[in-house]
Amino acid sequence: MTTSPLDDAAGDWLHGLARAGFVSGTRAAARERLRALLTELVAAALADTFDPDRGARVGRLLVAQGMFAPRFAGVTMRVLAERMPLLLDGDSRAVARVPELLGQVASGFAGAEREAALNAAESLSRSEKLTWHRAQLDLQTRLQHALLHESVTDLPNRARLRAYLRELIETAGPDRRLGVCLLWIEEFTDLTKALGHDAGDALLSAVGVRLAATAERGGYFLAHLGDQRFVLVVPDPSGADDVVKAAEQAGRALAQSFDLAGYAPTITTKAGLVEGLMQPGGEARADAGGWLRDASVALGWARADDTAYAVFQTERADRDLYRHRLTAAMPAALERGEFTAHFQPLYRLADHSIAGFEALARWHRANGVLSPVEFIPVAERTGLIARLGRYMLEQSCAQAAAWHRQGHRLVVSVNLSPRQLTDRGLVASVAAVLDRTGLPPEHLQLEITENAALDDHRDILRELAAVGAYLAIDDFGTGYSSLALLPQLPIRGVKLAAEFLRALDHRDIRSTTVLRHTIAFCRDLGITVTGEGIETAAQEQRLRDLGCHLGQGFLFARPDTAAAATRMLPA
Amino acid sequence: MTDLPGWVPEGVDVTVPNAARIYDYALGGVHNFAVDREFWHQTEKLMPDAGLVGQANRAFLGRAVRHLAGLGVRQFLDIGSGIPTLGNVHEAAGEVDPGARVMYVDIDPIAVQQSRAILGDHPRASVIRGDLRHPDEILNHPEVQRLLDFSEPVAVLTVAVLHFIPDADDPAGIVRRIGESLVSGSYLVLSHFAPDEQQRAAQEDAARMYEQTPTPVLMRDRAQIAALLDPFVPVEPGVVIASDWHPDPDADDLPQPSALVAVARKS
Repeated sequence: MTTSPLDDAAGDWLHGLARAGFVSGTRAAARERLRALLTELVAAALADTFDPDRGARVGRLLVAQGMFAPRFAGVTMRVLAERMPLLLDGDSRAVARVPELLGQVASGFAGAEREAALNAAESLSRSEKLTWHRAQLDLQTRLQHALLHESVTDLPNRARLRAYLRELIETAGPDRRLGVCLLWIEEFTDLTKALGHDAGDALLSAVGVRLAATAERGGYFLAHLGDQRFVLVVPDPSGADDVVKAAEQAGRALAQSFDLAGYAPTITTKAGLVEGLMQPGGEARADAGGWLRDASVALGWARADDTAYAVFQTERADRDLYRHRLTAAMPAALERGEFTAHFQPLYRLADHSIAGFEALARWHRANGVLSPVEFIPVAERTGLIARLGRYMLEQSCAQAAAWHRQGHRLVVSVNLSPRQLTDRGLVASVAAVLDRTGLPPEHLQLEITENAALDDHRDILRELAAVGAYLAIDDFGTGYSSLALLPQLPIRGVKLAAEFLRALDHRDIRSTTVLRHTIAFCRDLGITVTGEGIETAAQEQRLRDLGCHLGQGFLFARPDTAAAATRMLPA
Repeated sequence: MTDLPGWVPEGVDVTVPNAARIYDYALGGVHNFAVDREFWHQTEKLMPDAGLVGQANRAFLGRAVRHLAGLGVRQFLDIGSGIPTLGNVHEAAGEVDPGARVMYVDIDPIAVQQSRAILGDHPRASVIRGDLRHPDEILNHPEVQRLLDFSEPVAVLTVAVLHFIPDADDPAGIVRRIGESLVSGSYLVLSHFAPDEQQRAAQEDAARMYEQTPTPVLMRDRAQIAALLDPFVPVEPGVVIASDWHPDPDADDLPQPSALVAVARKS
């Protein structure tokens, strides 16, 4: 095969380039391209009018064809300087032009290579910035998602829920209603303790999936507030029933057992429900937080009452709130001496002489005086009853001792709450108060409500009796104690439940019969019987006829201050 | 904090050398950073033939693509594509069949962005970010599904990329998963860093260099590479060094045993 000098030169050039770096495409194609460039250079050298820029163009084309490795410039110069003169048919003018032509090739190559490198650098820099920008946007998106979603279930979290509710409320028309169902998984804490946090998370995740299906079907908005609390928002309910329905659907969805790493736990839910007008700008639940707070309050009721759900009611919540305020105020009130003992006389029905007084606590607040029914339950729930009880005992005994010193042989009757009966220090503090005040023990009567399941407190009752105090059962006939229990306990008195008085008023023959026998039974045992809450002369008459010893009630006197009580006593 | 969130972006740290950009520089390209160039100079000091191995590998890619396009394969999925500058797949395939479609995939977000800039709005070539270790994510990617028709044969290119996948990541399983999703008549094009007894020490030094990058490299021999191909079956001449695979009749390149290659077909 014969080849032209031009082909030879192109082959030589390609060989050199391929040794120096990467040449893309087939070698045949590359050689063709190089041959074309060589032809152009030869033509430029031989042209009548010399245009050195044609060399620069060849240099630029080399780069454009991807042959821009720096070593390619050297190879190209070497091969062309060697081969070009041989391709010019001995044309001395053309040969003389070769150095300038090659210089232009080098310039064109270098210029184009520099341009390519700078363009690439710019492009790379832009790519880098774009990539960073995109990564940051992606991060922001994920962060935003993370901020608004609960990590375990990937459901909207509290912040997202609040934003959702806020938007609903702010854009709601005047008649638009809203329902919120706060769900609580009863067994979550126990399961987590037993099976570990991973299992707890797996349970929550599974709960989330089931609730999401419920929400999807019902058109509810579902959120996960963390741990065992989920929320379904019911848009446009026609009434509380629609929210109850949502709670029931959720309960059913979660009733099937879960598959949890070899365990198949079943769970039950409690729900706090709120339903009402959104009333933008209105007073009640003006904001998202209000709806969630009320749902939480209702959930508290469902849990306390052990019902599947509870619907929020303003009246009940107001009562709760009032009690909470009393609870919070009580310790400081005790310190400040806002509690005092009032005294209500106990009359002997036989001769209307005063046998003693029942001490009743009063709380003097800035806006009025509170009676025990309002604050004793609070005191019992918080445990403050122990302090309050001791304080009342002290005041009552001190007053009774004063009367005693004035020559009045009176009994003061002080209430003990069931909670106080569990106080190990009770007996000692009663003894200490008696000792400190100098009141003879038989002048102190301790009233214990029958609801206290007296049978459970036999020991402490005996110890109190041993101190010398009299024990009386309050509200007798309503609670747990049976007549059979009476002889077994150191009981010296009973106070008849108000129900008996009502029976008397209604001439209820059967109840009256029970009352007659009860009084007779007590009398036989030497137990003093007191009728409480006597308001009419007829009631007094009936009780006296039945053999009741003592009477107490508005008919005789209301509870009053120690000074007023003293004035009731004979001079 | 022990539990870092999984959303710290990877691969956008240009202070760390990156395989795609190093390769670009090795081939004489300009799409690279100083850190990549410095890395390559170090590598060449340890293994002077490294550049020739890279060129042989790139030349094989071009020959394989032209060969398959010549056989009628019109779709190419290039996983671990790097930056499609010199000797890229869409130009090689386009030389034979201007209608050929090429999907580039790379793990490095900057390489992907750079590829996007180079391809512009090329009608038959596109790029996505993807990780060969998760082939389903690549195969099911909407952009891949849009460009490629999996009811027709596809040539999947894993050129100079499987040597970044350790056995712990189950490279054979990855290839099998890819094979399962392709129709009969599809191909796998593979090249791999391979041990060369003549320059074993230099190879190991160079491999150690790659431990500084996010993608450490490992060598596999002919048998190990053959074991990665199922369900593809190598076509002639089998698993060979790069310069021996259907060599360009006009080329007189020196053999580079450090690059083993194969083109394998799914029957």
